[in-house]
Amino acid sequence: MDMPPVTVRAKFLANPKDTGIAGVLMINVQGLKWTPNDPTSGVPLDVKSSNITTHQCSKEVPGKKAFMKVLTDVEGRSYMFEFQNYDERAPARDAVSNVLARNKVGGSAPAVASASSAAKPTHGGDQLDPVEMGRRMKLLQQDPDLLKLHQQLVGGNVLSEVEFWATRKNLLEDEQGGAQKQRTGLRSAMLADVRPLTDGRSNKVTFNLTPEIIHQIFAEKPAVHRAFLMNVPSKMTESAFWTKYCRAEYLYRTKNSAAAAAEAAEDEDLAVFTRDDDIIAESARHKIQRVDPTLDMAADLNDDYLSLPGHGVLRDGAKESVEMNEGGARKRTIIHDINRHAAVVLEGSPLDTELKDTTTVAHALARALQKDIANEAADRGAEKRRTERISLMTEMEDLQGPPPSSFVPLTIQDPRNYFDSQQSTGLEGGTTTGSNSATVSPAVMLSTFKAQLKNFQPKRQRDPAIAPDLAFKILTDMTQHIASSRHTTGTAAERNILESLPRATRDELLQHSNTANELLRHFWAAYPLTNKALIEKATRLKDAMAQLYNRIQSMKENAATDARHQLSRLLQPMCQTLDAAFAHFEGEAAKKAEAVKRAKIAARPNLNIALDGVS
Amino acid sequence: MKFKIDGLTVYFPYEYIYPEQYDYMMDLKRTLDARGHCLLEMPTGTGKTITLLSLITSYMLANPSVGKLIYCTRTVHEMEKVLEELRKLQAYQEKCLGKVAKMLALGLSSRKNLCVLPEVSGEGSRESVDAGCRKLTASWVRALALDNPNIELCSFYEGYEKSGADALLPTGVYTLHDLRAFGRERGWCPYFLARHMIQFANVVVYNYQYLLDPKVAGIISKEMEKECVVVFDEAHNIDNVCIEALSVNIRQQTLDGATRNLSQVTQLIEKSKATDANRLRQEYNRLVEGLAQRGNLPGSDTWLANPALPQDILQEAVPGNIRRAEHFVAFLKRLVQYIKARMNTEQVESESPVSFVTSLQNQAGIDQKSLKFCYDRLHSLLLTLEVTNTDEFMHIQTICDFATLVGTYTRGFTIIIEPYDERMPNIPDPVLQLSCLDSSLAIKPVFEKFQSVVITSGTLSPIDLYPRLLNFHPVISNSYKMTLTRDCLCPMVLTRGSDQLPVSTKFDMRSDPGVVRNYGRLLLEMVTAVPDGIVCFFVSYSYMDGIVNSWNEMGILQDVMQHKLVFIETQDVVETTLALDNYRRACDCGRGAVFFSVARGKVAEGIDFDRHYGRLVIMYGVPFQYTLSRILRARLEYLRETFQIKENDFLTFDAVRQAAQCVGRVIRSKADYGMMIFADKRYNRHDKRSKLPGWILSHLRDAHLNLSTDMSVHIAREFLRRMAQPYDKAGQGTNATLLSQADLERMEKK
Repeated sequence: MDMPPVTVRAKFLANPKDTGIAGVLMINVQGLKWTPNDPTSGVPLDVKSSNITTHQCSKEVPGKKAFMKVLTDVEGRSYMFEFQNYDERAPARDAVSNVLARNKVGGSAPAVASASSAAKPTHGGDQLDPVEMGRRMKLLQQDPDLLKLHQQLVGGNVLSEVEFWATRKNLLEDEQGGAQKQRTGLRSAMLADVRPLTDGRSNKVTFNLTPEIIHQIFAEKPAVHRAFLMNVPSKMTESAFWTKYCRAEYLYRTKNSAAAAAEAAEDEDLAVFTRDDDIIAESARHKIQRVDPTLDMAADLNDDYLSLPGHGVLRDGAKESVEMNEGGARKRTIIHDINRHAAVVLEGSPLDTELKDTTTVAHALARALQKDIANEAADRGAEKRRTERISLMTEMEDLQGPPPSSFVPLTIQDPRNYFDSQQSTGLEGGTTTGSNSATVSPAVMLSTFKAQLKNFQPKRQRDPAIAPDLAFKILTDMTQHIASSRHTTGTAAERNILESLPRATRDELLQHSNTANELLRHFWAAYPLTNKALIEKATRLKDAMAQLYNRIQSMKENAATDARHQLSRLLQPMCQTLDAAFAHFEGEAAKKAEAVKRAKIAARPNLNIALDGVS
Repeated sequence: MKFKIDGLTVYFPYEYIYPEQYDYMMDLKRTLDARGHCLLEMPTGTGKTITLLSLITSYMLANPSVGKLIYCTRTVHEMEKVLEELRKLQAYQEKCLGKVAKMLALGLSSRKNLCVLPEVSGEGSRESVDAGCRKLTASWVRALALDNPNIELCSFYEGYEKSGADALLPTGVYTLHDLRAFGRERGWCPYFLARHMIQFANVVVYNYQYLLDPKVAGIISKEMEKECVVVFDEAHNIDNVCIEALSVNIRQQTLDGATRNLSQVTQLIEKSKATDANRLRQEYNRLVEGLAQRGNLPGSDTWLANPALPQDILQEAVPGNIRRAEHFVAFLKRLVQYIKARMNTEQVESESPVSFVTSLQNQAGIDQKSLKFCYDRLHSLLLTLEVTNTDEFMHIQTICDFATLVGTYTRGFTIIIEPYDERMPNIPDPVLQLSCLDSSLAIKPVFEKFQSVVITSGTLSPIDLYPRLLNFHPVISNSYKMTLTRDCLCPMVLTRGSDQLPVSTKFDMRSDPGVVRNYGRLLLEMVTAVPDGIVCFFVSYSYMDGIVNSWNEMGILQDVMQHKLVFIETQDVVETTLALDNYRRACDCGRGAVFFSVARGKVAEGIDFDRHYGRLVIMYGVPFQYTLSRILRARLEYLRETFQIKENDFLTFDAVRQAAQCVGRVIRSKADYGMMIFADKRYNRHDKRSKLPGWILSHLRDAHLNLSTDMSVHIAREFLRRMAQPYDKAGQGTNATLLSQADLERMEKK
């Protein structure tokens, strides 16, 4: 009991998108308590320490908000707190981890007890690791409908986080398998070409560097990358490095090349920014060997005896002065930058790691480069591709005859024979023993057919999924319904009634239908009500559905008169499914008073189908 | 397909043939029959190469008396393409004829492109690879290595030498890559093997200069028989190649280097005297008897041959005053001294070789005949001194080449001494240029020696000018129209921007920001409308540099990059090659890209932008030469006096052929399509436009003249929509654009 209580300012967020309610968070051995500053704005929270399963904190990135999430085993509920800054969060985080540590050591017994008392025991998979959480957040960000649903149900305490996601495992898995998804390439804009901003008042210029820009700078200017790896943090700090870089960049940009040169001469570290000849030349030599031979101009140079020094005409009217490419070091020009940029974008190897801070970017890039080199070395298909490429470049397609088709056309010598045999195998069904070749004599075939026919009668389905007379009735009803609606509204209107509704109504309708589907799914999944938690859940869901039902009714009433008919027709199936759920709930409640019986919910899927068709 | 032309069976590896290919073959056949030369202009994108190869090889099969086919290309990558097409043709012929059709075809290039010894081929320039090779293969090095096993030799060369006469290539088609692979596998040096195999080959593909430049031709092409058929493909610039092959320039660096070389030579002579005086004495004796005795050098000892044309080289003894090594060095020192003094001038001097030689005689006591022998004497001396690092002696060699040329030729040349480049008057850079003015000189031996010479290209308009420039009489000169199934070419002349202000690269307008902006807007509009690749050609590097900078500052470049990636040609060949490779890959990705290039640049000369690699070419401006250039002036004057070609005619002809060359690269076959925009108001003038090749002119409709940017965008959209429709590729009835074997047989009967 040596843990001092911790009290910090923290906002409580009902869901990740909320702005949050300002309040005070208190953590002690018993658990955590949060009270809002304004008692009217929210309900105070009280979480017992035994219920806390784990907690998560957002990464410390300057400029990002400081979050902490506390997860509990009470219906998997979780609480999100936002702190003023990371410094304020630190004590709270430590306190929660202390509480957790205590739970593990001394309080394991009560924790288990409380877990068993809870209706549904939490299992390990429900404990959210940050990766899982990130995936969920990402899914929510990508899909606004899902986000709305999440806000409505989880935020409205109708469903718990775990329940909500349990039905969406496949989505999460897809997200997890996202490595195979198409990766986004690099931006084609020249980010590395950072332009200074001036505020116009003071004599100050500002450069804005984001991790993405820095990644591009590193990729396009290997000298800067190398300098960074060499000097940071051993020789200078990161910010000093970038200040230096921006300074050099600014001097270059203002065409003050003399000053830049002077500065570079003075400062050895600065000079390395501009000396990338060796790296570029090295990679060029490497790449030139893999270049398409139909455009290898470097090889031409070796055949060109006109460029022999001292031979040919030096200053012809058609030639430009040679000064540009002589004089030792390559001058940095915008043209080189553009070529380099385009090459990097085309290579387009975005880093696997997220762009967070400069150091990781630098190291990840270095790793990626090494991998590329290794890949290239291992690439044995290059030679083949090279020859293919040449032959592709020399071919004249339209002089060639029609290409030989890539498939063998199906030729059946005696179609009757073929189809007959097909039929016989069809009849033989599962009982065949491989005698389905076309060579079977008609007599044998007839006998097998007869035998099958004999077997067929008694084997008829006795236990159909649905009673035949009922099926027939439904079928007739539906046929009639379709026919009548076609008659009344015409085919065009039937195609999409939704389209004819005003946009606001349509959105509302769709949202209601989504919500209803989700609620119904959970509702039916809760049956049979074997324990208290499930009963609670069903009740909660029923209440939510009742609310939804009311909303639907009011929507119907408020609708414009001309649209009301259409709307009620659209809503009909939804209402019916909800009615069915209510009826079931009440029936169950009545039954429960007598005894606990297994409920039959065979007709459930059918009820959902109609609704899916609408949404 | 297989068909007959005038009784000759032609094997063509495709199932259809274009009518113009058929016509081309007819003319080619007539030329070969007449044993004369011809000049044929056929639009790019109609399969010129395969037509040439197909007819000539078929002709060779029918007439074994015809020697080799010598196919000259401008570039190594064209060489690879030619060999690839030949491979296809060869496979087809072999399928039809069996073993009879077997032939040997190979490409030849410099050591740098063929060497397989990693230590040598990895070294920088061509000259250093040549020297590196020499260090390992020169006869005296190998002789020394017999006694001293520590001396390094080239294992591939040794392997090749050991096999002696057995070192042969089996029949087949060998690209440079194949040669290297073969050499590696057998352990034979591919370079020397290829050079050796030339005499047995049926088809040799190499660079123009291996035939036109006496320095190289003297080694490689000396022993070609008369019955050969020579083809110059993409020959629109052949006059320039001829001129450059016989020109020499001397700069300050050359003189400094030559002085250094001379002191090195002096040291070598001293050393040689001390250790092996006999060698120098032997050389002296040989020189007294004449140089011919040293004629048969082993292949590995030769390097650049005499810069003068073979018939102008004197076959007699070296004059007495330069026979002794020390005397020769002193002689060269005087020469270098004199040139140095001449270059130290404030104004431009222009002089004929005759007066230069006269003043040389008067002021330095150097006579014409000794000058003429400079090259031979230096060559002999360096061999005697057993110099292997030839790359370091380039400077003195340049001086000797200059001396030999100036001593040999009296007309068709001029000497111009400029203290600085006219375009950069503040940077002193004196240069002495010996410039050949007459392009017929270098090509004359080729016309004289070989039975048939075919000069062909996509742009030879006006076709009557080339025989005058090259001074020959073609049996046939013809320009073919292009039959099209659909209007897959869309040339346009854009004269105004969207704001109706004229655009041009005329000197007084080119830096006008309005023009620069209008040019930029044009590109921006086009990148939004045109799918796949777009190529822009500018009139010069400096202009492109300027415009790229302005577009960058105006933000136009950033907007363009929103749509397509931008790649730019630079004067660095390696960087350009990589940029092109990336450009192609970007086009393959599907989003397309933009390539900025320069007319008269390396890219414009030999890279195809066909299919999705180029749906639109924009030619910004008219690529005129820098008309104030002294050499150009001298050349124009010479043309006027000798061939009665007017200055303006020549300048326009030259500019328009470059422009046509640039835009002509968009189309490969009739299934392909592309647009061409000539963005300069001057193209609207009849005198400029009419010099475009016929196949472009015939598609340039009046409605596509004098356009503004918005109108051209509209036309482009229409055109692209039309091209996206399916079409019948064979064409109908009388304007059939594809002929099948049956069609040809019918024609033959008629």
